[in-house]
Amino acid sequence: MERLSTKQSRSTISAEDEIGELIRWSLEETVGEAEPPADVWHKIIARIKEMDAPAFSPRRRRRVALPLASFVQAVVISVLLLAFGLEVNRNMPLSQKAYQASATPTISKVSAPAESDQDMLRGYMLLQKEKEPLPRNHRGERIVEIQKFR
Amino acid sequence: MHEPINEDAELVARIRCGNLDAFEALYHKYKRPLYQTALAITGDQDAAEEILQDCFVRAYAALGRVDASTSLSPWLHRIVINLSANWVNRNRQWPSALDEWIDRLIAGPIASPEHAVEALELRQIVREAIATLGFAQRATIVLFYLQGFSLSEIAYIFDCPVGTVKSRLHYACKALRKRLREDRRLAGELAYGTS
Repeated sequence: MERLSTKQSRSTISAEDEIGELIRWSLEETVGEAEPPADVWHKIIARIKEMDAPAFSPRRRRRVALPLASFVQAVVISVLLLAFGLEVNRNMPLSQKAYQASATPTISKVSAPAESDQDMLRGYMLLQKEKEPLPRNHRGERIVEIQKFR
Repeated sequence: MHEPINEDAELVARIRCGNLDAFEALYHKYKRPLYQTALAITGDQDAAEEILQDCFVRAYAALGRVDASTSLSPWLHRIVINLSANWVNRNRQWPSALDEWIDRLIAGPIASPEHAVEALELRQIVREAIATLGFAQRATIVLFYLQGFSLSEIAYIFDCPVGTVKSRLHYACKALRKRLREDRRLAGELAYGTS
């Protein structure tokens, strides 16, 4: 009865009607004396020992607290910062003026070196032809070819 | 269940230092209400035992994150309710195995055999009526009437507003009242309200 009155005082809604009393009585009579079997604790502790140590275990704390860990962390952070800095420089956003200049389409003229190379080749071929002995006919006279150059 | 809060905080602090004796003390402190809650919801002894095991294994794994400044009872019940919900979803039925251990429980000294039969019958009728409720209403009834949790504690356990808990209790009681009124076995013997 003492337990019942404690529950009643905790109730904030009107639950003291007949149906409430009947439900409470029924539940307490049905499961109120039920106890878990004695071996449940042994099963629980066996399962816990099989588990990995949870986050609050002292062993894991020690592992994190090693001085090497902080050194490695510092190195990794430095490398990441350096990589981030380089990447930022490479992809640095352009100023508005520079962006407009780079974004404006331009017509670029192909530079001359290709033509000058061609001219040099032509000149070289002419020189070679002059050096070659001119073909002669059966009487020993030179056959002069007239070449037209465009 | 509603013991001094400092005791729980102290136990949690010791468990976090790797003290399994403290965890055993925590188990013995809460095993009965947790087991009874699971049993009242599932109606199956094996299921209740399994839920109790799972509850403490999960609790041990999560003790590093729990707020130990308040009582652990609502938190542990929250785990039990979630595990019970999983069980009920897997076994969508109200097992009849409950009858066996009800018989064992009532085998104790009772005033008269006539009274025993009446009590057993009434208890069975109410239990069957509770069994017809959905999981949320049934669990709310168990937490409120059996374990004596307040509405705000039940709201925490279900992670829902207090108004939802009130509503569940109201409709659960209404449904039970209607069901008991319609039960032929109680005709002419009991009148449960007029509303």
